[in-house]
Amino acid sequence: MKPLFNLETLPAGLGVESLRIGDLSEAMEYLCRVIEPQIQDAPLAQYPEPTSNNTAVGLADVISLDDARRRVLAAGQPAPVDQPDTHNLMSKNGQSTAHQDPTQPSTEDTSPGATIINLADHMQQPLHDAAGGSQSAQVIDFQQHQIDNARRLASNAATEDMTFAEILQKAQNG
Amino acid sequence: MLGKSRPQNVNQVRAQAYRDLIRREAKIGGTLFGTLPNGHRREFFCLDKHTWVWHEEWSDKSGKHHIRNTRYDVRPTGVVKIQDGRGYQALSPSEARNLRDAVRLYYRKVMNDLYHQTV
Repeated sequence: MKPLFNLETLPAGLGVESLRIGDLSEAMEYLCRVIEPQIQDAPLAQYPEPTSNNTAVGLADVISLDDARRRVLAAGQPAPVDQPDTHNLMSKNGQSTAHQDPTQPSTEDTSPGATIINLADHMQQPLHDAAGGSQSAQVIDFQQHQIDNARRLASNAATEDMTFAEILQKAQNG
Repeated sequence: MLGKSRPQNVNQVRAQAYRDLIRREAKIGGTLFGTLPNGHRREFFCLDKHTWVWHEEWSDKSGKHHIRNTRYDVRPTGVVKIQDGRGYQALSPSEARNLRDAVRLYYRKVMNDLYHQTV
């Protein structure tokens, strides 16, 4: 990526970088504080919080519903009932998973690479609709080879000790 | 005259530098959500304390160019979404969670890759 400008050539004393870091930190903390009640409305909030070591690449704050199911089942608690509005009910190939038996081991990949896709599922939705796709809020517009590639990279990451940046870079390069 | 123009120039340089930092952050933010289809351009960034922006451009099969801007307004009462400047939408709990996670990832990656600070 060609740099838009060189930090080293900025006039000394401008303090732009420090100013931006301060603004960004404040913005991040503010959003996290404000948005928390909206997240707490989700039934998923009843599940145990993810531990800090559930991924190798710093995605400990991200947890999928299937991962949560496994934790609940492991703790011997009743399995949760699916909530249509709180989880992507369609698998990547468009097949519904709404009626999947929660007591059965999930085949969904909850590795770091798959977690990245989970984030994109929801963010990508408006794009799909705008492009003339289905108006259904559950349709995912990912190509299978991209998903496979991300999962393969995530799988390799565990053994190759890849960083998050490396996974992203490799996934982008295909 | 030179004395007057100098402070203005410094302010202009500062403003330009600040915008350039945001542009660089936006490119990093666009990498957080997996591989982009060919012909797509995606940016995700923090504009200010109250505004986070998702920008996406792509061309459909007929070659028509599309642009979708999604703005997340952070208000004391919660976060609302505005797409292409039309109306306000409440976030579902799952989208709220995804946005929070995306913002945290953005912060970590930007701080590490652009500002070389460990958080």
